Amino acid sequence: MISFLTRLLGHSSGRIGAFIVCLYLAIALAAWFGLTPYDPLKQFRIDRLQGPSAAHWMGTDMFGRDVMSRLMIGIGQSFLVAFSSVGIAALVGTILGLTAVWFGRLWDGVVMRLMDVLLAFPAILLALLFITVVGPGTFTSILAIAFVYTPIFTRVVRGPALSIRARDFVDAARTFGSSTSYILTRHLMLNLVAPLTVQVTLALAWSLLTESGLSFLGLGTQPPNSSLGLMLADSINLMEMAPWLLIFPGLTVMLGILGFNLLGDALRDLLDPRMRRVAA
Amino acid sequence: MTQLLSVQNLSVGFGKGDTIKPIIRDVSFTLNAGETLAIVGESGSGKSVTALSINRLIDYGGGRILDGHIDFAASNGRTVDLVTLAEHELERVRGSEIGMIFQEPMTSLNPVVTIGKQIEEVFRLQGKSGSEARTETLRALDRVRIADASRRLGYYPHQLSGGMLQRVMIAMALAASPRLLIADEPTTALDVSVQAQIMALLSELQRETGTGLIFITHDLGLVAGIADRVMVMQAGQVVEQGAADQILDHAEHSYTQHLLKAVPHFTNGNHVREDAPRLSPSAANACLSVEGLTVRFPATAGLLRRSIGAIHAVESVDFDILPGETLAIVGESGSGKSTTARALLGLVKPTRGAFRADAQQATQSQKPMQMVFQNPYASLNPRLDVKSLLAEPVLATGQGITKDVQARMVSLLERVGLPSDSLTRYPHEFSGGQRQRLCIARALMLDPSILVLDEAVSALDVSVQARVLDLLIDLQKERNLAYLFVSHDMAVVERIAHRVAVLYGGQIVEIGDARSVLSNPQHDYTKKLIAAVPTMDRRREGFKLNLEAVPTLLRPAGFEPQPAEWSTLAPDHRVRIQPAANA
Repeated sequence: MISFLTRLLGHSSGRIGAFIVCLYLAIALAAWFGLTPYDPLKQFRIDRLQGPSAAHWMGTDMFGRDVMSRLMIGIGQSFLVAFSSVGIAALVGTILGLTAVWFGRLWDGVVMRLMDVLLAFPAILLALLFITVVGPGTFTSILAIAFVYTPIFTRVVRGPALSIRARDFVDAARTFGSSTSYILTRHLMLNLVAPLTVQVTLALAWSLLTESGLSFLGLGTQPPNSSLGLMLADSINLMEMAPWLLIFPGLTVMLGILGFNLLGDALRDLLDPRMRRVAA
Repeated sequence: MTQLLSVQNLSVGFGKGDTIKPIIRDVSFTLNAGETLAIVGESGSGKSVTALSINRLIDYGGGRILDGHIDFAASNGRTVDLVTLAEHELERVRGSEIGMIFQEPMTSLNPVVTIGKQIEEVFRLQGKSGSEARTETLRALDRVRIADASRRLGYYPHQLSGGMLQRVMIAMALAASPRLLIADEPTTALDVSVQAQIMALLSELQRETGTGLIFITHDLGLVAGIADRVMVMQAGQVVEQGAADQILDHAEHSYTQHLLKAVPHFTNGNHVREDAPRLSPSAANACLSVEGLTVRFPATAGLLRRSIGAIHAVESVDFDILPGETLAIVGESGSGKSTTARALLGLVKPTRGAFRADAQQATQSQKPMQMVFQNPYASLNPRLDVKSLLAEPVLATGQGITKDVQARMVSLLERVGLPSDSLTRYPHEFSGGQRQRLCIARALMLDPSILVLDEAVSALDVSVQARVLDLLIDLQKERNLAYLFVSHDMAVVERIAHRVAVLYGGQIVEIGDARSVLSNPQHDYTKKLIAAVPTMDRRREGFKLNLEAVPTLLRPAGFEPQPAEWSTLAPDHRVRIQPAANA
């Protein structure tokens, strides 16, 4: 574990990615414990739509709320949704993809056709459908986004898994009499780490976008709570009058996604034994 | 003879800027028109880099020519230095002046374009019109002896066998009648009998057209059959070059001698192993006996997957193996030898038949049969370290990794000749030969009594191959192991086998002790296989072309072959009696 951390810090993009992700986590935690400059819900009626100043570093919004405080709360909210939904999607998608490959035939056909049907819908439409059935809220938007991105993970897992299954080391494992679960986890899963990490980092970015879309439609995070997507959505009409409302959440999303992508790249490299330098 | 190509002091490096690393240094040779130069060396010796430098394809592989000249006598009478030639001029030279054939025909052809179209492209590039190009294409296919050429034009690469595809590649390379042809291991991916065909074709075409040929190979046996001159490379440098006879008979450099010694010479059964357990009076009972093993795959056709019969991959195969004995199964690809091995290991479900494998000691922790696969690069999970790899067979039997098991890992690694610090390393840190040793160690973890070796040394360099074979023989003596050795390489078989079974079309056509079968083959197919083996003693002996089609194994539903009739030649040598029509 320690050696893994030192190797992560030795990796140039891993270092930057890890720093950004840790920073975001720290901010989200601070906001969770109420360590924001102001109460994010408090409305400073006189100071509405003020630009960045010493009192309000990132300005105030149309209700006179402190943008920085709301941003800190929003980071936690958005990344909670992104992480949980991508986590669920990756888990369910991988299990479905692997079992489809391993058990093949009927199960493969049923799973993959179902996933194709789901893939045929635009993401936001499918999420809308899901939320209409279950009802709006943070938890349901997590489930909805997970539901939308599961087929992508299933597809991403199934392709490489099919080719890995045909490799000799899987045959070798079968001649030893290794159990199905051992082969699935040790031989297939381990070799799927690279495509999965890439997919996870991409999906994190998409899911942030989907979450903001849902919030914009009033089906994700409910006001007066805040999320990055909600803040972006609210700022669009005031873009010319109060650009800071757009710029700060926008930069936050951008930097966050950059951080996850860098970290994802680094993890993919570090988890691959072939990239490890041979100890001289 | 006129000089066609002269390479002087060629050095090629890989890498960028300051970190450029020379791969080949100071290579010089010349080639005359109509002459064949063989470049011989093991993997990593720089032989392919040398070849790719000549047509400057090396530029696309990340290499850079650091120093030297490559003077090529072009067809317009001028001599050009290929090293300094600009890219647009090189494009004219490649293909029309210098043709190239690659090792793997399956990957060198575009899978979604018919072979006819692909050959036509070459003629179109020469400015020929559509109908002209088509007739030329037909002629080109005829020239490489592809029967029924007009129909084959519409075939896609996957519909043709490896040997056929390599012929297509040759047809393409020769389409522009180049003055120089570079063949980079053109037969390595092919069977012996197909290999002989391709060699025959190359030498015949060369005689017809007077093309200069650079033939790259790791197989000195092939060199004897085709080369006028030989150049031996090691670690990026030329260690020896000269006339073929000179090099093969009076090699001066120690590395050449080493290579020559390592090449398994096929001697028609004169050097088989003498320690056959079957001959000793105290012969034990068979530890593996197979009776009537039959594997059939259902064959379907059309959209509705209508059953059209079955592929009879393995048909009523019987044999037994004693402890300490090696039975080699030989045959060309598609003869069912790998399927037989896989059926024994439970990777393929036999349709019929039974086999019985006995453990040496009846303990829980044992599995009587283990397998070593052909490709050591594919049979080890790249994500697991050696310790996890070796642990797998043990874990599979439901045991934990105890101190005993760990001690066993260390001693087995030591036994197969791997460094003691290997446990924490990953497969990519080992060479091909070391990986195969690792596979052998892994197969021995459960103390089996039978090892199934499926082409286990075919993917290795000759000198590595020799050492792995020695290891296998030593291990066999130490542990009284029975080997089922599947191979297409007769020379290797002669070296390790006590008995040989020849498989043809899924059936054993000849089986018996190695000396008898190899020195006195009776079945036509066995004779053909043995005749196709390239040996040192057959210099420039024209390989004969054989246009016979490979028999199909597809049989109509419900088809049952005639029970085999055998004639016995010697106490341990049986031959299937051939129907008179085939004789």
